[in-house]
Amino acid sequence: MSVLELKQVKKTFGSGHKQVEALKETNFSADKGELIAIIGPSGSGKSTFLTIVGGLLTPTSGTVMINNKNLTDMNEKQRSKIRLNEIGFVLQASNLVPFLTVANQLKLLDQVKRGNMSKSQLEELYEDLGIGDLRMKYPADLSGGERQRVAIAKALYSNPSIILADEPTASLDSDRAYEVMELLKNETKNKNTTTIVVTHDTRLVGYCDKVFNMTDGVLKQV
Amino acid sequence: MIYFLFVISAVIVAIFLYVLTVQKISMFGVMKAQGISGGYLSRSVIAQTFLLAAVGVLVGFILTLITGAFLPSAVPVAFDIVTMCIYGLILIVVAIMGAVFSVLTIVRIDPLKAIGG
Ligand SMILES: Nc1ncnc2c1ncn2[C@@H]1O[C@H](COP(=O)(O)OP(=O)(O)OP(=O)(O)O)[C@@H](O)[C@H]1O
Ligand SMILES: [Mg+2]
Repeated sequence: MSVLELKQVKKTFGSGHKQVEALKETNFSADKGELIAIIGPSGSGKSTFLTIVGGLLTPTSGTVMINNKNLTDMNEKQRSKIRLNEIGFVLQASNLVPFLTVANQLKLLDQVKRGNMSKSQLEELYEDLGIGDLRMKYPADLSGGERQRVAIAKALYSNPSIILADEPTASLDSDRAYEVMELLKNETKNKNTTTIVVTHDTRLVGYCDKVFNMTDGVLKQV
Repeated sequence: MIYFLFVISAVIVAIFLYVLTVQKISMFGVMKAQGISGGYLSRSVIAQTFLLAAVGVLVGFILTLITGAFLPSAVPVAFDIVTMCIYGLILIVVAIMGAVFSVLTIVRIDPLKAIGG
């Protein structure tokens, strides 16, 4: 059974001759335990695809199903619940709250949701990401790469069934980039989640089960 | 005259809270993208406003009483605790009404725009 299914999904921005077909009609599905890479040039529609999957952007037409629930029929409140319970985002821009320490970034989720990682799992996650020493620090005092790793910790902390990562390794050196991919891969396999990673870096593709190429809004498996 | 003061303080509190909210728009957007509901964020802002207003009123009370204690007896002042409490409560209510403007803004934040994906 697919965790995620897109049927004839299309997204156009603007109207008239300013119209941009950011995502042409797309069919896509992903199963549990799959690590999927999407590569493609800048402006090809990768982020558009990812934000539609994550329920942040409504497609112009077509349906998005997450765990057999139709995302496109839902109102914002219901979609927000899906994001909270099923989806972990690692965004292209940093998604940390500026005035919370690293540890409190994660604990914020405990306020609104149960079923997050246990203490020992969290310790392990800190260890794996190499951010254990940073937990009392604020985002402004972290380097770009450290911030990115905290963002990944935040996405994983809620035990989501789908992880969506937009250029998670963009600001990391290659050693760290490999480590992060390794981590995402382990997480995907051990917890049986579905992970979609958007990346420019073709070297990371080796870690993934499936690779898709996005060109001018057309998604093709390679 | 005193009612006019209430209106002025309501406006000032509302603007103050609104500025605080606008500064945090991108942060609220991030939390919304994460799936934290607009309702939860709104409730938090209201609760924080209540705390802020309650502490403010309390500090105001204490300062008033201290001032009264140090005024020479030639100055005719009398404090009616009941009146003070009523006005204090009205001020708190007025502050929370001011926070409602901020709540409207929070509810309307589009998480996608805020995170600039
Ligand atoms: N809100 C919007 N309004 C109008 N056009 C948009 C909007 N968002 C994206 N686009 C257009 O849609 C196309 C796809 O954008 P998208 O952000 O998905 O690209 P991308 O593949 O993620 O690029 P990058 O690798 O640079 O992040 C681009 O041509 C972009 O200009
Ligand atoms: Mg992008």
